[in-house]
Amino acid sequence: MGPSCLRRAVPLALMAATLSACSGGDDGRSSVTVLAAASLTTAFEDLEAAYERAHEDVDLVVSTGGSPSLAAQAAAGAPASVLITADPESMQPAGEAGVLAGEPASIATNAVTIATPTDAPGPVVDDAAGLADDDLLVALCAPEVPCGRAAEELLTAAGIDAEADSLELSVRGVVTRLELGEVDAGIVYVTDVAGSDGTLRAVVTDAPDTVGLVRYVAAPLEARPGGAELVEFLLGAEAQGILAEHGFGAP
Amino acid sequence: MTGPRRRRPPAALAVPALLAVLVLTLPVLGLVVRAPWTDLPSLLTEPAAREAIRLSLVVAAAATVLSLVLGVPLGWVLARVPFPGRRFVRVAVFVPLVLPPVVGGTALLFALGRQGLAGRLLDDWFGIVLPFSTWGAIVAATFVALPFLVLTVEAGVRSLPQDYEEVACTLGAGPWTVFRRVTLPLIGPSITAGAALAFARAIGEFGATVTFAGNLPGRTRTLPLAIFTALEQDPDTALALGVVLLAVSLVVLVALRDRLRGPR
Repeated sequence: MGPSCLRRAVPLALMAATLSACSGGDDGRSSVTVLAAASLTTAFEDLEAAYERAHEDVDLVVSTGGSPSLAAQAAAGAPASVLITADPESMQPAGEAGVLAGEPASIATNAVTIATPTDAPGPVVDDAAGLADDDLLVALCAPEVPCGRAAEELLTAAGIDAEADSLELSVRGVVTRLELGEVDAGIVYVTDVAGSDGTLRAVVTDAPDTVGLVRYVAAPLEARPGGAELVEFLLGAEAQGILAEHGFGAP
Repeated sequence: MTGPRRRRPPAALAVPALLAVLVLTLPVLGLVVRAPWTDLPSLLTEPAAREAIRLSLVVAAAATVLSLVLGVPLGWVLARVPFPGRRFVRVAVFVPLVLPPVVGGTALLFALGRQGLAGRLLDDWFGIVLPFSTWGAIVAATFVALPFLVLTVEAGVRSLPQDYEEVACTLGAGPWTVFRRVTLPLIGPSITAGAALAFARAIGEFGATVTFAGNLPGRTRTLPLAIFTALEQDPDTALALGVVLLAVSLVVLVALRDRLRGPR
């Protein structure tokens, strides 16, 4: 190796040393990962803070996404402690794969609603029938995800023949398109409207309150420890209070 | 030292090189091994699968045609016309290559979306709304495919000796005639290669499409989006559609075989 080679090797070695030093630097807390349905994103900001206050040795890591893809990740052995899906049906693939370390427990309920941007750039949607208007841009959840199934139920019950312009794989996709004003209407959870700081407005339908409901279930996973404790926390008074504050219904 | 005797590569190079080959081939092997070969015909003739395949071909073909119409002139201009800001334009051509597609889609949304800079005007003046339409998917695919064509054509034009063009000029041909009758035929192979690369990039486009154009069967749900959606519930369909895209890649590689052949 000539001197010019050495000149290059030294910074590389230094870099490698720094990198390995970084990866070792944790603050002694053990990390507990939870895979949570996308509609829980905002609520989990508060839930995470509360859980970490109660368990100072735990760093809660929240990974959100569409329920079926989270269940698929869990089924494939994702290194997480808890799986939360927006309906029991989405949990099934994980159950069948044998990765659950306990029975799924109901932690909350939610309901879907038609929503529209408050400062609508396009046509204003005042009633549910407006969703059937072909000129309207409508975003719905895909039927593969819980909010899509609930949305279909709501549309059927309200007798609306809505034509979607985009089918999103998580409710957050619909919320974003509404908040950006790229679509005129969509179906999201009531908690999304409540957490939108007034950028979204719910549109009332004739459908009874009993349709378009989802029930969140949480289960500890075999892959990592600490799951049962977190599920227990979610069922407790403090977590239930936080969920209620965000507009979720009791399990 | 210079004899034909083959030298043993040092282990420090051979081992990482072998690992690199594994990194490149293992995922493809995984797809091929796990693909539902016996159910392939029935999975691919499902209406949803056929729709995604048809839409992907339409979108990729349209994006390739758009790339040809816009990219060949730009490639030529970059190679032959010195103008102020040429470096800036070349950087702009590279942007979609290095930008994560999802960022490209976000950028497209804020530029051409209904609330976007130019999109607002498109909507107000012509009533054109690109997101959630097949044209939106075509725009997203063109955004990512165009650089491949421009850069290949530019390299092709640069590698031409200017003698032919100059001779044609002295014989009285105007610049447009020179381009059409001399340059264009000579860079034919570059254009074909660029078009093949652009088509391959366009048909595989996912991030910009799902962000900008949305996800609706028959309108914007191209093969990659259909694969992503199918993975939620029906992995076998996702694998079957993956095989289709793998086949498309192979066809493109065959089309490019002359360029890929390394020195002996």
